[in-house]
Amino acid sequence: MEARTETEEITLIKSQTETSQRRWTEQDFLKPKEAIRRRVYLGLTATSVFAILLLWVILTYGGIVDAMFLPSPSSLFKTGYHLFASGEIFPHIWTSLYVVVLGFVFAAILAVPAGILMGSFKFVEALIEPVINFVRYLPVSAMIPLLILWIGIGDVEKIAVIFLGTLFQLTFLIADVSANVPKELLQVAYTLGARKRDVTLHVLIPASLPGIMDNLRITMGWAWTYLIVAELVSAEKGLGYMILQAMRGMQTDVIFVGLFVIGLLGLVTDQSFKYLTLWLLPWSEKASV
Amino acid sequence: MAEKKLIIEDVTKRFITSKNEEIVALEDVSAYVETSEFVTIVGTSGCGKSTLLKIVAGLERPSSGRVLLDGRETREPGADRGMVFQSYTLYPWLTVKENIAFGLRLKKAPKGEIDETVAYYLDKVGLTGFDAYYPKALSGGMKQRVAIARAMANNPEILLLDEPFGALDAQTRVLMQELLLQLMEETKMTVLFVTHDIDEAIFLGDVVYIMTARPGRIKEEIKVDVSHPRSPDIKMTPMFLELKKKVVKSIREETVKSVAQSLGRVEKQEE
Repeated sequence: MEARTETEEITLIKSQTETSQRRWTEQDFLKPKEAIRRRVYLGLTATSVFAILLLWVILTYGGIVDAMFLPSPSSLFKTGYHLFASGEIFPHIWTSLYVVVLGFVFAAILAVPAGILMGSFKFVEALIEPVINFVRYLPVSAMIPLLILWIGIGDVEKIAVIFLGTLFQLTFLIADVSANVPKELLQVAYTLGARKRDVTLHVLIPASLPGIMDNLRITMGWAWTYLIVAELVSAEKGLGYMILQAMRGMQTDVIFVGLFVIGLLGLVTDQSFKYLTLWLLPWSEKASV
Repeated sequence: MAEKKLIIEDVTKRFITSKNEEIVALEDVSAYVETSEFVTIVGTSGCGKSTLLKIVAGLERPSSGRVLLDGRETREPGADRGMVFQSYTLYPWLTVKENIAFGLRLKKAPKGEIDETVAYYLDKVGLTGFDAYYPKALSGGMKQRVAIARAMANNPEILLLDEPFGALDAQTRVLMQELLLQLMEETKMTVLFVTHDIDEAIFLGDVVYIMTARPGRIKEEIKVDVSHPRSPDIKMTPMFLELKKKVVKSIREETVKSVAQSLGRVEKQEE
């Protein structure tokens, strides 16, 4: 938290000093990569958000679009409140969340070591890279029917979808991180008396960590997509299932609440990775808010 | 006469490129470094001087020839030959103190000894008080100071430096040269230093080896008869300038040759 306010302050001070010599009229919005005033920046952001809200209000309350296609802000809020107050939505959230986390964690447990080894040891690369490179291009959504045949439509099938969907991509991405650890970092360890084992444990692995965190964060986003696809195909519970049911009942407002919650959960998991990096790898160049 | 600490004996290195062409990077290179001597190797870019240093460090194998340290042939990298690279090689996940202690920890040195050694070298490189900093907070010059401290804290038989100040700005580079020289005068460490900077090579070196362009060979060996401690003022003396003139001329011939070579290669490809 401390680091955040500090960086914020620095950017604030920086933008203030940079623009204080410059008049508003002299700002050149068409010059690429040029800084603009912070107040202008925030104002522009607020404008776009406000414009969307305004459009929504006009379309719904103005009676331009049927409530069946686009619910009004007030009815959406009411539905959202009802879903949370009655507790109706929580089993769906809980199911989606634990499925996504379990599938992802299983994939990460395998992919992280496999990726590190594949990126830095030629014999592991020869062993698994061709296979991974092929499977990587099989869309996991195409494998859902097969998984249903094999495992059924329960949570285990969903976990398997996420596991398979992220495992190969993650392995490949982490292999790239490990391959890009500068060779000099390893060489200097040898000249300090390190043996092969020391170099792997004390140099290669720690040097790969920031890149690993980055890629976990990216793949976590994909995991959410795979989950919803899997739930739309077949499920008994979960946010994707809730959305599908709402479609069948023409409850557009529930669909929107579902979308909003999925987006929010994605944002929360993404931010957790950001803070996890800050907490676990404070030394990393990426550890800044 | 001082004994020869490091002997490079007829070292040749050949590479096979992806196009199956053979490139001779080093050809019959012989050189030596006496105990407590500061030897510099100067040459144009691509002359194989870094490859030579990596062979001495044991990070690469020579195609033929050998390297002897204290009379024993070296085959693998080891703590007896500490190295500082041009690129920043501090471990970003370790603090300044932990970086310097890296080799000592591998040796399982007692904690008291580690603390003492780290404090000593931090002081020597002028970074007392920076123990707990992570490398990302340091400037380029400070990073290289820590890298030198890390190599020296391990107490190697010889220190190998591969253009350690190549990435620094001109002002910082001069200060670092003075710092390194002073450090070596105090500690009597044996040093083999590779650079393309002629001033640097003469200012630091007791002996300067000039290398030819590809294939890299030792072209000339020049003794720099200036006693220690050396002050930066020697760079203005007629003797220094005379030496510099000689080296510049020698290197210039090689640079011209190497440019002509690469142009020739381009023309051949275009035909």
